[in-house]
Amino acid sequence: MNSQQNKPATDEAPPTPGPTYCALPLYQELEDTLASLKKAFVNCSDVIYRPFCLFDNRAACLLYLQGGDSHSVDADILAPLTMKPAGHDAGPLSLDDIQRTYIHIADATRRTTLQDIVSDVMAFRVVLLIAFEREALSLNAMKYPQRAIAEPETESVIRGPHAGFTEDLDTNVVQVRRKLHTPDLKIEYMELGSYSHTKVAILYLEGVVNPNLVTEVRERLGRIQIDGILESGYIEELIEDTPYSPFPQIQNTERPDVVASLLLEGRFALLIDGTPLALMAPINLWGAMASPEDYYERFFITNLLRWIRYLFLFVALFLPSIYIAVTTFNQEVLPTNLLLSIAAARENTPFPALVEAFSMEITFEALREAGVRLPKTVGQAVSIVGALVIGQAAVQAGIISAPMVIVVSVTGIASFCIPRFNFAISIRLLRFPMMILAGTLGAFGIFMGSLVILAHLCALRSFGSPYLMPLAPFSASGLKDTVVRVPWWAMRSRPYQTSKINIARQPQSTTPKQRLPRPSRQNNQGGA
Amino acid sequence: MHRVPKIAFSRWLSVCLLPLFCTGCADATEVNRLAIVAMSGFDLVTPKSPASLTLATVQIARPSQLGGPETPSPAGSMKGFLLESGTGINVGAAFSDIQRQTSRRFYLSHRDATVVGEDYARHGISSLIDETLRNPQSRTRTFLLTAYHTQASHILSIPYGLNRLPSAAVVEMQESGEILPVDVKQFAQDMMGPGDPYTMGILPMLGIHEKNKYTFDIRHIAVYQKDHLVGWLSLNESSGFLFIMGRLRQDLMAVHLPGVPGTVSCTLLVLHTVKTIRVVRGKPQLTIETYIEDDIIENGTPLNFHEVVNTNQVRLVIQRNVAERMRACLSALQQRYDADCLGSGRLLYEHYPQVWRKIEPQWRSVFKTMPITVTVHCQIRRGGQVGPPIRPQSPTADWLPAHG
Repeated sequence: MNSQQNKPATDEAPPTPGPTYCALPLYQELEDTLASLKKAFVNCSDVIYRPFCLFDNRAACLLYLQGGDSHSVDADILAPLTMKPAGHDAGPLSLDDIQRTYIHIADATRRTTLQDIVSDVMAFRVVLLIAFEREALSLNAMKYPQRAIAEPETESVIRGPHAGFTEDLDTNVVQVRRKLHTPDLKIEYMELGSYSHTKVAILYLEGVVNPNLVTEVRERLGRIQIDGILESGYIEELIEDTPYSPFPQIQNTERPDVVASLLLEGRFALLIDGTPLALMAPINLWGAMASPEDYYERFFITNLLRWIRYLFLFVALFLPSIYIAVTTFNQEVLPTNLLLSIAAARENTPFPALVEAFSMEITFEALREAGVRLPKTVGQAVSIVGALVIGQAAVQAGIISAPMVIVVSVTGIASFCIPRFNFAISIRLLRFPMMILAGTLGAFGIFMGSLVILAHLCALRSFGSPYLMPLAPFSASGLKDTVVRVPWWAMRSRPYQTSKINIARQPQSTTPKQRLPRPSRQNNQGGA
Repeated sequence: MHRVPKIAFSRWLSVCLLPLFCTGCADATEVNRLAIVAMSGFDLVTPKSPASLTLATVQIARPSQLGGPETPSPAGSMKGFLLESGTGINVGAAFSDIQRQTSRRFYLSHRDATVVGEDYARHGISSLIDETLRNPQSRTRTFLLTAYHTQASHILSIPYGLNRLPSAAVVEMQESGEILPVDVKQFAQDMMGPGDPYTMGILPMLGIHEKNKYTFDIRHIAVYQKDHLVGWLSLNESSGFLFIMGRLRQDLMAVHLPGVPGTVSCTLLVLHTVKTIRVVRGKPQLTIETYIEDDIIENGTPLNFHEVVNTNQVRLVIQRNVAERMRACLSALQQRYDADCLGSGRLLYEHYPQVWRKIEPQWRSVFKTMPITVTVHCQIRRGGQVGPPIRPQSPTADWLPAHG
């Protein structure tokens, strides 16, 4: 009862932080300003007040959060402001002079309200307050510890850049900017989360992206009125087109090169402070099956690997259901010898194929979950023990048939072949209803389930762009990067759906015919 | 706050629940609850009685004996299968009788071969053919064989040395290219068409090394008039029939050359037979042209087969030999059995439909007297890897080698 009574009304305005500070201007007296700020930062023991005396004999105070590298504060702020320069005998300095002459920090901005000061201190900036000044200086002087740039573990490649995003937004923006040295790469910042004030950057390539798409992104992000954004997943769920779809409509990546490549195709990216994952949209099914390396390796091997991935996508989704259907309903489709082998293996098993498959798949998922959650060394041990228990002991004990172990193992491997982790999760999820359909209706059930999935995929949109584009709706030119990836010299246009305003990617100058000098023409010229 | 629309939710719920009410679950049978029939056989319980019951015998595979690396292979023994028999007034009733005796669900979809006993075949097998075509569980690609002078149940009781299931051996023999595979679908088409059907014969044989142990072989051609057996072609006639049908892919022929000591063996490379029918003065005439290409693989003669003159001798002998076999076969079909297993009736129907309609009622008598011309062309492609003969030349040879 109490919980219901205390439950806030969800349709009302979103919760806002308590009114401990507001947009008041700074006081003339430094003590008054500090008193107000101390009230705002009550019980915030990590806020450091560093009072000192300016060389013109005025009182001053630095405010910043502890935990960072304060070398720059000492060297670039305190030292020049406390040591009286030779020849200075004038009265109090103006804030302009202090900022231009004595502070050796480029990123310095003026602040006039208490609210701005509180926000800046919370944003890891150093605030300089000086007595009798109605303005404060906000300085980017502290370096806080952050993770070094490393190769993303979830998207590792053999050929291609090995740098990945970190949790620091500025570092991530720089990484993308280093890929696209153009002022057309636009970066718009927003702050989301009434408590977290998470900085979010919208990245797009002007002149390539559809302007309506950028407007739509801004609108969708603007609607977010949540208390905190701690990871990209919050935003993904708050802005995707169809929240009830099992398929992801926004792609995430840890790789700056992937972000750059999608920006070049007229898509937008969101970089969020505090997470190494960038969000990108609009996406389609084929993008979910593409690996970054597809575009770096030569197209022959790329195509072979893509076809293997699509084959194993089918396996990951359907193999357990097909096994259930053919062993329970449609035995006639199997070759006689295979049927006899399966029948022999299942001769002593106590459970129906559906129950067997379900228990094995759930055990496999549990093993995988345990392997992910535990430390790496322990996780490997769990995997080995699990494999031994499932693969060996369960079969020898006659609880599980050997073909089912093969089916579950192949299915597990197949789901690892899908490059995009969030898409693989969808396939893993859909496998279970497909197994129920196969266990109740056989092949008919599988076809029915497949049709439902296909119809859903046809109707699905990612920021208004069809999920099966360019297959449905059909666009012949877009097929160059779907199931097959044509060589780069043949990809002369960008995807139509996302780059309508600037479709040309490159001219024909690098096609095989244009690439090499023509011997006949040379000979003719030489003869003349 | 957005809520899931009630209509959409009820739709999804109904879609999820509907499969549970479908009949699918009732049809489900786990694979280890099936009695997988590998081969079936049909006989008459009392062959001399016109109203005899049908005796059905089935080979049910024993999966527990057939799969797994630890299980020793049951090839050559009866461990791999279980024989069950049942009787009834027709095929379905006999199957039903077997089902009553079997704990598992009778499963016909993997039946590789069906053997009909000679008595049953002479009685007529239209009921069996109809069951195979009509029953959705049966498959029409089941090979059909006729037991040569014996009962089908006897054939089904014989294990095969190389295969775990005798049915697998039957399938491999049928697909070897040395005989003419006939399945139920083809038999039914021939039976219901203008011609007559045929099947291969299957016969039990005593093993050479194990005297009391039977094995089986597929030989001879069973000649049918529509649905009942009328007789058998001898081995020589059967060989001619295979050449006439032109579907042989493997054959080995050993021949004597006139006036030359020793024998020559040739293996078949290409066989192409063209049957054409013409109507002359209202009467059909059949022409059979056969083209053969052979390789010499054994030379027991003193001839050098790199000499064209010598290979010509082989060529002519093969031509004559094959033509004789074909004529013997044609004679048996036309004179002895009155059965058009050659497909000449179908040819006439396809090329001269109006003539066919006129002579259809008396087709058997027309077929009996129909002139058939046989032409055989033979080519020797290679004389073997070794040029000169290995056989030592006798100084007292009473024959003269040809010189090219």
